[in-house]
Amino acid sequence: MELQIDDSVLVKDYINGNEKALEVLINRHNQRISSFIYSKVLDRDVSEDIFQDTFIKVIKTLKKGNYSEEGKFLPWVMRIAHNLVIDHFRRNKRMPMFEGNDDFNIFSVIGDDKLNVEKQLIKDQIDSDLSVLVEELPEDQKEVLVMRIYRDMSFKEISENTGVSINTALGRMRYALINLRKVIEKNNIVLTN
Amino acid sequence: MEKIYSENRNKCKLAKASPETIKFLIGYSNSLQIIEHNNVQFENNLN
Repeated sequence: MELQIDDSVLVKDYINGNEKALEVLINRHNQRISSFIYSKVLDRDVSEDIFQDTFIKVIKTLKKGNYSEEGKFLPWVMRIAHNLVIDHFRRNKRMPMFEGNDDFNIFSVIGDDKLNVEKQLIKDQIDSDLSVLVEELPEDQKEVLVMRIYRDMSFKEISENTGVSINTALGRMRYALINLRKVIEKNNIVLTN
Repeated sequence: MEKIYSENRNKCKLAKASPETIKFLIGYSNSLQIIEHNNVQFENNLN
């Protein structure tokens, strides 16, 4: 049976300058500490980084002589790892990182709100077709429609500007839209983006 | 049924830090020196 040297003895040896003792300690607890970190962060690379940082802290503390031996090396290392896991999540909360995968890509939800070149061309075409159609409308209806849609005026403002009542302006707008639809249907014009 | 359950068994690897990481840590430990001067500790890395 292989004799296992106690952690506390290895720690003492390491503090006294035996570098080999550290290797034994790391290899002995590698799996437990790595599994613990991985169970929290669920990422192999991050887990590896935290494992490394944990032992850098361990090495510094031991070399500085700040470690008080109470026969609890592993729980102490676990505590350091736990704190570093918390630090990792805090950091990520401040600066969240999201990586898409095959099932879900963040760019399908958050996108550039500008139209692409093709859609912009279609939109320009629709706008120019529509302005031609608007020209076909009777003058009173065209006037109300232009004020409402292109100049973004309220019906109150339209009524003040044209000298007709709000209801008349509303009626003209309604007929303007009906007539536009009629022309579109009659000429089989497709106005979709 | 048995086949379905056993299919992914090998994918479940135990988490373990890589030999490179351990090598790095041992190298780091070897190079780190703590120097004390006027009750202040200085870290010194000798590569």
